[in-house]
Amino acid sequence: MDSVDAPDRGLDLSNETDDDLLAYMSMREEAPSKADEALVELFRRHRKYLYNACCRSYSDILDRSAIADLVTDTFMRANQKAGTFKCSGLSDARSQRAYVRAWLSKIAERLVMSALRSQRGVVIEHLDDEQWEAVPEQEAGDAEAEGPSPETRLYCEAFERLTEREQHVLRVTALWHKPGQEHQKLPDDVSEELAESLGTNSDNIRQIRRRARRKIKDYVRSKLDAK
Amino acid sequence: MGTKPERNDSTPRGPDDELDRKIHAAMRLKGWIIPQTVEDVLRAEAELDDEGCDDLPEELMNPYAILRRETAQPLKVRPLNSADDREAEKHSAWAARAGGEILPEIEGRMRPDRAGAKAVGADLSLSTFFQRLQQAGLDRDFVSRRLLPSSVSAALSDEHADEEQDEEALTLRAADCVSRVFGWSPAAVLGSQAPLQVDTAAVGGARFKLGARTDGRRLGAYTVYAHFLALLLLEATEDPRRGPVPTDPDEVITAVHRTYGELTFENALRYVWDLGIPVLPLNDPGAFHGACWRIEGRNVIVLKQQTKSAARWLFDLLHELWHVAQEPGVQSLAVIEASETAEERRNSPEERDASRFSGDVVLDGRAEELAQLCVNAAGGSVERLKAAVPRVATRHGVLTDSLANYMAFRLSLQGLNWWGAATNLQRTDVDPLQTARAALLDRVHLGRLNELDRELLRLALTDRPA
Repeated sequence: MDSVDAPDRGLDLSNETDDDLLAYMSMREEAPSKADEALVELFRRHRKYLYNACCRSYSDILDRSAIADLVTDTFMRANQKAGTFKCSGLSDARSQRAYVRAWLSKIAERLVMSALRSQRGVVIEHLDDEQWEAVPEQEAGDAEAEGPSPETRLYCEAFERLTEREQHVLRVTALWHKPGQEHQKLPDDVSEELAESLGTNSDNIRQIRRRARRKIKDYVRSKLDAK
Repeated sequence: MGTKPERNDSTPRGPDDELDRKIHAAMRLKGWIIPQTVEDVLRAEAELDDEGCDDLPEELMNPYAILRRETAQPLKVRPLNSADDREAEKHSAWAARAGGEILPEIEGRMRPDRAGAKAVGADLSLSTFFQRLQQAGLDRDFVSRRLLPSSVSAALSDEHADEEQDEEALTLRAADCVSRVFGWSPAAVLGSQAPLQVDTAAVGGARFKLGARTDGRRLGAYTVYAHFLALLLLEATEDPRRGPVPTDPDEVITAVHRTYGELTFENALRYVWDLGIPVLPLNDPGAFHGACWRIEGRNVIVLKQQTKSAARWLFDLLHELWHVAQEPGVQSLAVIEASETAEERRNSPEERDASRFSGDVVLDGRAEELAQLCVNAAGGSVERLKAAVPRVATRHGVLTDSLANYMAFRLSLQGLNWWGAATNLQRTDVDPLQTARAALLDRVHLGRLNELDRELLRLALTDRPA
C-alpha cells in the first residue's frame, strides 16, 4: 500500500530525524521532491499516534472520518508551517519524537477550535507564528510530570459520574479554559452553537459547567475525607 | 530550546483556579485534552498503540495521498447532540420525567421530540398515543402498568390532568418511555402515517408458531418487551459461565440434592442461577408462556405463569433449562413457548423432549413409569385419573402436583387436555412468583443499569394495579 503513487523512490528519508524531515519540508522551493518525501515520511511515522490521540480527545465532537480529515489537515498545516518549527534541542530520539508529536497535537487542537468556531461562520486563520511553533514545557513543579497522583486519579473517577452532557460541555470549554491564563472565555459563537445543539441557552451552558465542577469537587472531597 | 511556556503563571490564584488546574490535569491524564507537552506525549504513547496501521481509516492508509490533497477541507463537527448523546440524554430526561419535574435543560431536549413528532403529523394527544400502541399490540393497561413510571401513570389517570398539565408534554413523556423498550423514536410512536411495527427479528420472531387464536401483534410486542428485560438482566448480573448445562436428569437431581437439598422450585431456581443463567419471572396474561434466549453465549430464562402452583413453575423452569442446554457451541438461541395446550407445543419433538426431561427431573427419573401406573390405577379412564394420581404419588413418594403436571403433559400428546384437572391438584401454599422475584433481586446489581432501565425492570417485577 505504501508504495502506491510514490513520487520518487530514490529519496529514502526513513533514517532521517524528525527535525531534519521538518527542515526538508521547509525547503520546498529549493527541493520540492525532497520536501514531499519528507512530508510523507513524517506522516508515516506519526499518523497513527496522532489519529489515536485525536480519537481519544475529540470523539465527542468528530466522527472517525472527520478525525481522519483532522489528522491529514494537521500534517498539511505542519507542512506549511515547517519553517516556524524550532528544533527541540533534546538529545534522545524518544523525546525528540515526543516533541514533534506535541507540536503536531497543538496544531490539531487549533484546527479543532477553528472548526468549532466556523460552525457559525467565524474563521480564524490568522494564528501567528508564535502560536504555531509553541510547544509548551511542563510546568515547573507540576507533580503530574512524575506520573499522575492519586488525587488526579480521583478527579478522573469523578468525570465518570458526570452525565454525558456535563462531560461534553466540560470538554468543549476546556479548549478555551487553560489554567493559569487570564481572560479565558468560551467564545460567544461557540457557546451559542453548543447551547443550540443541546436545546438550551448560553447561560445554561455556564450552569452545566458550574454544576459539573461542583460535582467533581464534591466527589473528590468525599473520597479524600473518607481516607 | 525554542519552547515557549504557554502557562507562564502556574500559581493558583484561588480555590477556583486550583480546582481548574486539577481538573485540567485529570483531563490531560484521561486524554480528553490532547497531549501537548513532551511528558504528556510520552505518557500517552505508553497508553496508545502507535505501531502498524491495520486499524487506521482508509483515508490515512496511503501516506502519499497527503500529497494529492490540495487544500484543507472544513472539518465537519458532528452535531453536539448526536444520536449517542441523545440516547444518554434521554436517560437524564427520563429521570426528570419519572420524578414529575422537568428541568429547563430537559425541557430543551423535549423540544426536538415535539418538533419531530409534529413534523410527521402527530397530534400529540394521549388518545392517539394509546390508539397507535394498541395497533402495535400494546394495550393501554399493559403500557400503564409496565412501561410508564408511576408519576406518568398517575398523571394519565388523573381526570383533571388537562387542567393542570400540558397534555402534549405528558404524551411526549409517555412516548419517550415506550420508545426506550421498542427502539422507536418518539416521533415514530406519535406519527400519523405509517402504522407502528414491532420488529421481532432480533428476538427470535421467526420461531413464532402462532396458533389460530394467537394475537400475533400482541405476542410480538410482548416478546420484544420480555427480550428487552432479559437483556437488562444479563447486563445487571454476573457472567460466571460455569460450563455446559446438564442434559441428564440424574445429573440435575444429584446436583440439586447435594448442594441445595430437596427438589423444590426455590432450590431449582438457586441451582439454575448458580449455573449462571438468570431467571426472569413475569405474570402478565396472554402472549407467550415462557421463553429462553442465548445472547452472545449467555443464557437467560423467562418464566411467565399466572398460576400459584410451584410445581408448575418448577416444571416450566426445568423445561426451559433443557432448551438452553441444547447446542452449547451456538452463540445465540431463541425459544418462545406457546401454552401447554397449543398444538405446536404438542407436536414439536423438541418440546416433547424438554417436557420429558422436566418430568424426569421432578419425578426422580421415573416419569414414564409413574404415568403408566396412574393409567393402570385409573383403569384407563380419564375421569378416574384425578383420584388415581394422588394415590400413586403418595405410594411412590413423589409430589402429587408434579405427577399431575406430567400426566397432563403425557395426555396432551394424545390430544387430551387434562391441564384443568391437574391444576386442581396443585399446592398453592407458597407464591412461586415472589420466590422467583426474590431470587432475582438477591443476585441482580441494579446499580449497573441506568435509571430508566432500572425502573422498567422494577415495574416488571411489581404487582401494580392498572
